[in-house]
Amino acid sequence: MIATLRLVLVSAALVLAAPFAAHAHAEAGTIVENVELRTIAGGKERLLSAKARANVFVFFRTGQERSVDALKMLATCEKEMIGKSVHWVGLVSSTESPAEVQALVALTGIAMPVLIDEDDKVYGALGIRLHPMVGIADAKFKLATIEMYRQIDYCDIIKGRIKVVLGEFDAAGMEKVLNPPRGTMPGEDIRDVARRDVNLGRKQLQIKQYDKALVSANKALEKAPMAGAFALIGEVHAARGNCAAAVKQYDQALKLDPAEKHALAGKAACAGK
Amino acid sequence: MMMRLMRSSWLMLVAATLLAGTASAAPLKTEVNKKATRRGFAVAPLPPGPNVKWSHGPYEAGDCSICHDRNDRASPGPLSMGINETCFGCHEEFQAIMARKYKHVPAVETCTNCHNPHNSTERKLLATEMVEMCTGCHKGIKDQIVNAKVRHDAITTGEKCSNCHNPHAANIEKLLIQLPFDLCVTCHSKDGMVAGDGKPMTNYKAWLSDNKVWHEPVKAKDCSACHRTHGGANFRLLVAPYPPAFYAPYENKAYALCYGCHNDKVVSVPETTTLTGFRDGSRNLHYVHVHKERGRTCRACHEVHASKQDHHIREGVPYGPKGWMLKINYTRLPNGGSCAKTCHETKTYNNKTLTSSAPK
Repeated sequence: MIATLRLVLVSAALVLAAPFAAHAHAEAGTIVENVELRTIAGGKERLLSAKARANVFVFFRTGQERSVDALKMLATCEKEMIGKSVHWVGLVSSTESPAEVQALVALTGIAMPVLIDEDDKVYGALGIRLHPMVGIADAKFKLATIEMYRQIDYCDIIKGRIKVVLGEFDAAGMEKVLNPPRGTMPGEDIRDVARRDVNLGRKQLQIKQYDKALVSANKALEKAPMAGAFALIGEVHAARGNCAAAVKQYDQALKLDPAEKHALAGKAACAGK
Repeated sequence: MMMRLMRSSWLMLVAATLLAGTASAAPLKTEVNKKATRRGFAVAPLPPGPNVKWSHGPYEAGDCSICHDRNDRASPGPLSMGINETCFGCHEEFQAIMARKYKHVPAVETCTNCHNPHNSTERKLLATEMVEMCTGCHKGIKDQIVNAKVRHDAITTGEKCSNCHNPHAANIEKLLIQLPFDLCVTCHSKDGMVAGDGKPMTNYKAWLSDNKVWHEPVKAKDCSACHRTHGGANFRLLVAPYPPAFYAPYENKAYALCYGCHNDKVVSVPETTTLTGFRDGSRNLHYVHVHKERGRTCRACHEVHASKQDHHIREGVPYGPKGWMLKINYTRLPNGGSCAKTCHETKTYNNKTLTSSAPK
């Protein structure tokens, strides 16, 4: 009789604890229940803190490479967020061996207390199906996000998510962390290659290799209309004593870039003669 | 104090045991030898020859004094400035590139760690062929490439290592040019690609566009969560074993790929009330489907990259030698779901109570 009653009560509790579709993890805005749980260290602690502006709870398990990698990175994140109003806890299933959990904590260097999730109730109630997973909630226990582990830029993403909750980061800033722009390769932009020609030509001018400097400047102009290339041609003319031809080139340069410093200086020098 | 010492030694012992346990299995991630050793290539000009196809402009022009103290090919003397300072004098874009967050240490040290500033048999004046050069330090990657049963063409074609990595500096970890997914779809977005085993490969841009329920690693743009990009032991470059067929007897290690993230108890325990929604009362229906001699593997019901239905459930699965499309006919219901013919008669499950909907 007592066993039946207990089963009915557990069933009712489970139904109440499942406010969202079981197929996906809890959505942003879900209120996370601030349950009190046993800790691996032998005490008791609440999952969340109303005193902290951000609450971070990390589900992990032993014997899993990704949990090891994630916790090592989160240990770094924790250190980098010291001084900020963030409450961190780890969560493991009550089926885990406390000795193995403690060994994993020692191995990875996380400082956060580790709570025992009895029968995976918190894990299940949040609809989580993976390890490791990081949940982040605000001071009112409103869930901001649940983040899976990823090998690339993990700590940056977790820190970014926390900073959003702390109000230090806006959505645009977070988007840059989640989707960083493609990093160009050297020489990918043809103007960079043209600029190399101009720079080489300038060095050739310095060693009085005027014809070579002109070749370099013209190579640059074949690639892109570079103000610096016109200025360089002007400087070659000026070095050869032809200020009239030089000024024409300086003017071309200044049409493209009114602040082109070599053209401005060259034009002033020719005007002073 | 003694107790603390004993406790700490014990923890270290358990940690060492855990490490030893994981060391025997191939790691799921790409291993990089962080203790790379600089090779110190010769930087002197190569003697002319048919293979010396690439030459640096100032060297070709005989303008030694652009970089060196003297304009004398026989005795140019030392550089007028530091190596990288000299290079960046013309290659100006590197000032911005080297300001990026993640820097390649050899590039920070000196450009001539990898480039011959005079001439070369290789494009970009590399001192040796690119893969040989990179794996000269990155021994872990070399092992993966050399020992791979399944190879990735991206390593050996096109820009080779530079297809994905910027060997100078990047804003993304691992010196990646873009996030893994963005890199992968630059190639895997074409129809008609064929894998090494002759099987057609999916056009992922098209597939993901047509199927809006994405698997979490896809959402996170982390293809390397499941695929070993430098080459591996498992089909489709998977980082760990995954049954390639529709049927397989159940054993945990056969699903190492899935259990790299998913909790194996979702499948391996017969009863649960929290770990999966695919349960009838507390009867775990994953367990029911998989724990058989002819157990249905994950692929029988789930589409791993993206699907049109919740739970990554496929609409149908190719079955038999002719690839007949076996319809799954899954319907989501308020208290669970149901699957109709063709795999079996229509069956309904209820995951909102502990009471099974199966007839007693």
